[in-house]
Amino acid sequence: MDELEVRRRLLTDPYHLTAEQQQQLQQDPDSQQFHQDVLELDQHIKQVLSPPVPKTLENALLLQQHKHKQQQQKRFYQNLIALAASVAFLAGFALNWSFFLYGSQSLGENSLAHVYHEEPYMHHRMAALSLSDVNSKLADFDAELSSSDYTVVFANYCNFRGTRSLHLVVETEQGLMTVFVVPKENSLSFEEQFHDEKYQGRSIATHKAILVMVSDKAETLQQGEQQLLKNLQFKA
Amino acid sequence: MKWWLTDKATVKKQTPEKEQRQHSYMQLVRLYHADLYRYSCWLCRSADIAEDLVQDTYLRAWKSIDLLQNEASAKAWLFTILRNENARRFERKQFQYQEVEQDLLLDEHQVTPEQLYSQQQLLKQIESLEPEYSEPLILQIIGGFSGDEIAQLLSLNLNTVNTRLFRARKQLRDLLSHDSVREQKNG
Repeated sequence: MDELEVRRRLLTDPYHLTAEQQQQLQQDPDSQQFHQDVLELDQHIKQVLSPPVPKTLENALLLQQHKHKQQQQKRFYQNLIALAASVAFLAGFALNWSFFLYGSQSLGENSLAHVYHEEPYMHHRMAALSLSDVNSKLADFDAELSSSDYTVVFANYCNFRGTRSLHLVVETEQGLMTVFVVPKENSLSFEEQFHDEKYQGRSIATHKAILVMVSDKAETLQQGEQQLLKNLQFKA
Repeated sequence: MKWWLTDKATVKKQTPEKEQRQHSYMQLVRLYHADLYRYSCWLCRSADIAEDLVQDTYLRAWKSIDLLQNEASAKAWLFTILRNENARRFERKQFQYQEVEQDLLLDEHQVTPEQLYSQQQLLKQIESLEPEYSEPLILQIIGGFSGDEIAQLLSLNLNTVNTRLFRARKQLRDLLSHDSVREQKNG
């Protein structure tokens, strides 16, 4: 390695010396001096380009990371709240929708639903109930049945969309007739006449309650209604 | 296992990773913020902008700290981010290159007026170099990078970097000896 090459290498990188370079330096005091000069100039340059580092910088850098992390966490919770709000909104919407679907049910539709619900059991319970049994239940609706021309075969409370009502099945000469006693304050829209393929029904609003009669034959309904109005009295 | 239990388990598993990440970040700040600030000052020629640039650099580093796989390459990685952020700064606003605030590069507090004068001369000489020569030199002196690392940082090959380092030092020495000769004459 000639002297020019030695200097060239030292000027290129005075910090990472090869074994060959180090050996060369030890042998040649001039090269050693040159190496020192190069390092000295570098040291000067470093000094010139070393402004005092602001003391607050390190803390600012640590703090900024902390803030960024907090912001991300905050954003996470904000998203969570937004999600919860969406779910609540949807739930509210669904609830409204269900009220819209079922809330419009009328007295007739509800009565028919009850009739169909009890239909399969009707024919197994043909034992006549005593008048006092029936009257004890009717008493809750301020009503009373005087001696009847027909027998009551079924009497039980039922729920007319939140309104406690009485479900009666009476046996007339023409067949079975279902009677509902529904208090006046209820959530259903009143329907005087209603029917489907099998049953037909009539509703009468008295001053205390609504009487709904359902039967599969028109004449049963007609006769049953007359008998019922004759025998059923509401207390004043 | 129920879903909420598995969820909790993964959350617990993540925590040491998070701590690890935070720890690496703190290490990066402690070890390299001073050198980054010096390099930033050289790039921006303004203490305020330099500080902002270092903050932007560390914020970006924190966001992508998972990409840092090797602690040994962390310094070069940070310098690369700083260079990119600086380039973005130029994109954002057509920043005019100005030779303002040169003095801020000097540590004025512990020097005599004579020393200050010679330092200012030296700074002038460094700035008179072509940027393509001064750039690798500054990275070698302030960053302490090897030729390979500088080549990677500047996207150049090693031979080019070596040539430029040699020429930078040579030119600087020539300029300084020229100055001292002139001063001797004047004196």
